[in-house]
Amino acid sequence: MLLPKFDFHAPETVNEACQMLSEYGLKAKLIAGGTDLMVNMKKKILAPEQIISISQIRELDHLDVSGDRILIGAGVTVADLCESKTIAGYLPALGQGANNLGTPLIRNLATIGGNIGSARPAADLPPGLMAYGAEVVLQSKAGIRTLPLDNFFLGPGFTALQPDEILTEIRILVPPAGSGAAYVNIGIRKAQDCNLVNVASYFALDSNGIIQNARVVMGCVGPKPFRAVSAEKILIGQKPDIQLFEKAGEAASADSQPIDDFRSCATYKRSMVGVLTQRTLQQAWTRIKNQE
Amino acid sequence: MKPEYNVIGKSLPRTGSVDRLRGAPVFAADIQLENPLILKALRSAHDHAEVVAIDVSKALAIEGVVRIFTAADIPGKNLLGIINKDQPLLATDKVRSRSDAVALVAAETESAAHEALAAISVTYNPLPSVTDPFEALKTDAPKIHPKGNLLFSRKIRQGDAEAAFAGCASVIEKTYRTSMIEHNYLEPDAGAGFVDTDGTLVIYASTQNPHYDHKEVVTLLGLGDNQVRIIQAATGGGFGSKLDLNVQGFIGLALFHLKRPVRHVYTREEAYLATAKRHPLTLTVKTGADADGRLKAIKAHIVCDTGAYGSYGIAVASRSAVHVTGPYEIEHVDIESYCVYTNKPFCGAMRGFGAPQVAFAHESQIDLHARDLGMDPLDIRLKNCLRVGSKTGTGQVLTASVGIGECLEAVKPYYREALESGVSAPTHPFRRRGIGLGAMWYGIGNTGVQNPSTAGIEMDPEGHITLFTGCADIGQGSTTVLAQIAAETLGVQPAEIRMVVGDTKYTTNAGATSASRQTYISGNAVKDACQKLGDVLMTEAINRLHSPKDSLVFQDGHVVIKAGPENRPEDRIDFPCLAKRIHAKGVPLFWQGYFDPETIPLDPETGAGSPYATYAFACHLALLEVDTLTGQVTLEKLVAAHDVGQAIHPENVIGQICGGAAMGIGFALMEEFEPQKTVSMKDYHIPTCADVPTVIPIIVESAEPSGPYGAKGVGEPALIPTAPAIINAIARALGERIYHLPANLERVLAASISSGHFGPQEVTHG
Ligand SMILES: Cc1cc2nc3c(=O)[nH]c(=O)nc-3n(C[C@H](O)[C@H](O)[C@H](O)COP(=O)(O)OP(=O)(O)OC[C@H]3O[C@@H](n4cnc5c(N)ncnc54)[C@H](O)[C@@H]3O)c2cc1C
Repeated sequence: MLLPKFDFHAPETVNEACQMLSEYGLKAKLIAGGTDLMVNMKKKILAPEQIISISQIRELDHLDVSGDRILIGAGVTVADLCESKTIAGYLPALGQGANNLGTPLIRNLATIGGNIGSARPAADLPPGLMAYGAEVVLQSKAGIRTLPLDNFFLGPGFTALQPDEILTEIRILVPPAGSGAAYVNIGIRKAQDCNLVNVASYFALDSNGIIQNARVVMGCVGPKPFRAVSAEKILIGQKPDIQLFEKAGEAASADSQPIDDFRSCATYKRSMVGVLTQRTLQQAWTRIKNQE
Repeated sequence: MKPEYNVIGKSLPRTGSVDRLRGAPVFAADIQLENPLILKALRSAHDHAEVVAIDVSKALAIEGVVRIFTAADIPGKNLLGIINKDQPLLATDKVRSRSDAVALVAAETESAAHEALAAISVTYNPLPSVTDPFEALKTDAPKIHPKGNLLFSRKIRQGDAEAAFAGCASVIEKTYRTSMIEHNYLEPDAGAGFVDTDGTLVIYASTQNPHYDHKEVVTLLGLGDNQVRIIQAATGGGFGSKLDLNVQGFIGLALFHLKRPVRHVYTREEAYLATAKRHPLTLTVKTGADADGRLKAIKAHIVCDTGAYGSYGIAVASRSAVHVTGPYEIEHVDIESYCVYTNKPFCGAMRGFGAPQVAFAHESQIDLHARDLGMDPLDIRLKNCLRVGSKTGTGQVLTASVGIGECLEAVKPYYREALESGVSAPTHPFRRRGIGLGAMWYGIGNTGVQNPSTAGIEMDPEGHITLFTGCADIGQGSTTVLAQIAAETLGVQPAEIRMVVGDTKYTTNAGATSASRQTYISGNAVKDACQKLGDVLMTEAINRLHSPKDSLVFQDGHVVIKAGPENRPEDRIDFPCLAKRIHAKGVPLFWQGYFDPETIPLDPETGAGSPYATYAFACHLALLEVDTLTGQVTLEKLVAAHDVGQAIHPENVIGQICGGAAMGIGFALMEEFEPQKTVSMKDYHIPTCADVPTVIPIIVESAEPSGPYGAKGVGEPALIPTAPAIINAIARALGERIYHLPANLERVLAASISSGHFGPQEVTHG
């Protein structure tokens, strides 16, 4: 299976890349690790004439804590996320997603920007990122804008990214003390699999031990990863316990919109949303308790 | 006492392993020919349809398209099939499945070939189709082949099963279903060919049986034997699917007409679409045991869905009938097995030929009896297992090498330990541990039909030895094992023997690399050839050493007088010296070997007979954990004991056991081929290394007197007990059993729900 013909560019700065994008417009595609794009090109789903690699852009490789925010460059690889102490310490739910993504070979190439940019409903990183309330930074020749990740995904493969924009950075507020999050996914086998269901949950307690903020994000059960609003409502204002998590799970289940496919039926996925919601909440709670 | 061998039982470096590491062996897709044409087949657009017309004019007009072949271009007999001939290379009047090839494009480039495929216009008249074998058996079902949809049936009757059930304390009847399976060998099917200067069509193929390919291509093209030469290219696995003609016929057809080098390489998607699958089986099994747990009777009704063509379907139906009793003594037997056509992709050979499917049933049944009677699953197996002197369901009396009891004993310590530590009271809210056993027997070679092998051995006048074998090494290591057998027989090292393998110009028919038969059958043929050469060498040595034959042995490329007081030079003579003299006398130094296992064909009415000369036995133990809320199964450990008679090459045996176990995990938990849905590895899940636990292989050696140095086979047995062990472990974990493979997430969860495990549970630290 041969690739369609294309020209290849490897700019070294974001500005250069933006310049190229504005020039080539819809004829161009950004490539990071290529683990998603190459598959689509081989299948002839995409045939961009110009391929702009962002691998040489050093300004996209950072992973820092700056003040109250964690800043992750779009070019950070999934393997980097797996190894990062910052991620393990502050954002374990994102780390769980990274550790479950593909195989070591894929993780070495795949980037966080590519995982977001490809906008797959079953991707491993978005639920965790959304649970932490991540924002994305989008840059074009015209300037920079930021967007909550919640509003970034539009549908399978569709995002709010304009053809001349680059996703440069993911920003997450350092989770407050008394908060915790977790991510769990289910696939047909233990690795190298497209998820059947994945869920990330986050909640934060106030000084009285009451849940003051909660986010439950479901993947694979709709056209994009999205929040289980009714589950969040159930959680907020309550004290965490197993019965509450169970109720939240039921609500998330009801919020999900899975479809039947040959790999698994909607009923199974719906019921798993409930189970995983409970599990992630339980794990998040354990993490909070372990902080104390 | 085990005999002492020089090279048998030693894990020597594999023949050609240095070349492999250097990347020297050439796979069919990598064969470099001058300016080859690209071949691509157009497949059917319907499950079942009349082919009214094929218009190739538009496609022919495309630049780079050289020729488009249809059935009309086939000069010989357009009907293929390993056992029964029912499959055209190119569709004639109708298509019977989406795998059917309708036309073949030859083009200068890959892209021209692709364009041509899209430009061929086929007019179909769709016919009603049938995909369920039970529907296909109904009288008003669409007729797929002129003789109807029932291809074959096998009956085995002994005693009076019905009457025996009446006296049983435990009678259990269940229906089991297994899925269609794709082989998923690493190397998709490929071949290439050219016309030699003498006009011979030379075809390189990724194949499990070059000599079958040869006969089939010769018949297809109406040529003489010498006009076609098949050379087995380095082959990256087969598991049964490379026994059918895949690309060889297309290459032959193009060579015949165009006299230009051609290549035909399947994509993974094509290998999925166009090659054989494992037969899905539906079987209803009723067994009865007395109060002591002794199995008394079995009644089984088996339906094998062979899809659109027979391929090895008859063998699968026959073997599943013989094997459904399991490795147990059962006096009263009433079995019928049917092989039925449907409009699905055709099913053929796959590692085990129906035995993995029926093992799922017989091993579930025996566990059900154990539960019913309050017995331990290992004890009930030990009580019933075959022994020397036992009579099988076909009335065959086993006379030697019945190692099932030893296999069960071999896993016993692991089983006991697991029982003590493993499945105690649940300690986790949603995880349950389970342990399960799976046993099996497997007849080596084809079922009640002759399946001989031949081999050639040659010594040149300088004393160099060359072994000629038509036995395809597809990665399992037969070349190494055959070299070891030859080396042992002639007292040399395997590395000193030049191996000529799988080239119909030089080798003779060794039969298929299937049915776990090559070590046993071709091993014996090699041994036979070597003994003949050995006799000639000995005769000459008697003259030279002036010592009787029974005083002489082969040793390090010499004939020596054994047990002489001291090692005197005059007590030994080397092969070059002997070979020169033999040659000078005009006595041949090339010898053919032959072996056909002693079998008695099964009686068509009663199934009585001795279908195999020997059987392999095995028992696996699976330890696992079930997530009762998600249906996820995590394997902790597999213990796999296999009676192989004699391990010629223990590392190869272990390789087969571990690989087979991995394949068995796929069969048990995730694999299910769904036509038009599972089109590539992306949608069809096989286990990854993350899904495979530690496998503890145990080699049991109950020597087979008729085997080469006691050997039997292990290739297929490796896979067979794994799924039953896993399914029994899941049943033990949940208290609820799964009767439909694969035991995927949803089925395990359903079992968990019906056993009451689903739902929030408090942790009870125990
Ligand atoms: C074998 C295999 C297994 C896989 N397993 C998993 C898995 O388990 N879980 C999972 O989530 N995914 C999986 N994937 C999908 C893929 O690996 C991931 O989505 C990965 O994160 C994509 O990153 P990438 O850098 O390779 O993206 P690329 O392929 O380079 O890009 C993907 C898309 O994002 C766009 N893009 C990339 N970077 C940017 C940027 N900075 N700004 C704007 N747009 C951008 C590209 O234009 C393209 O459209 C798998 C893929 C393969 C081939």
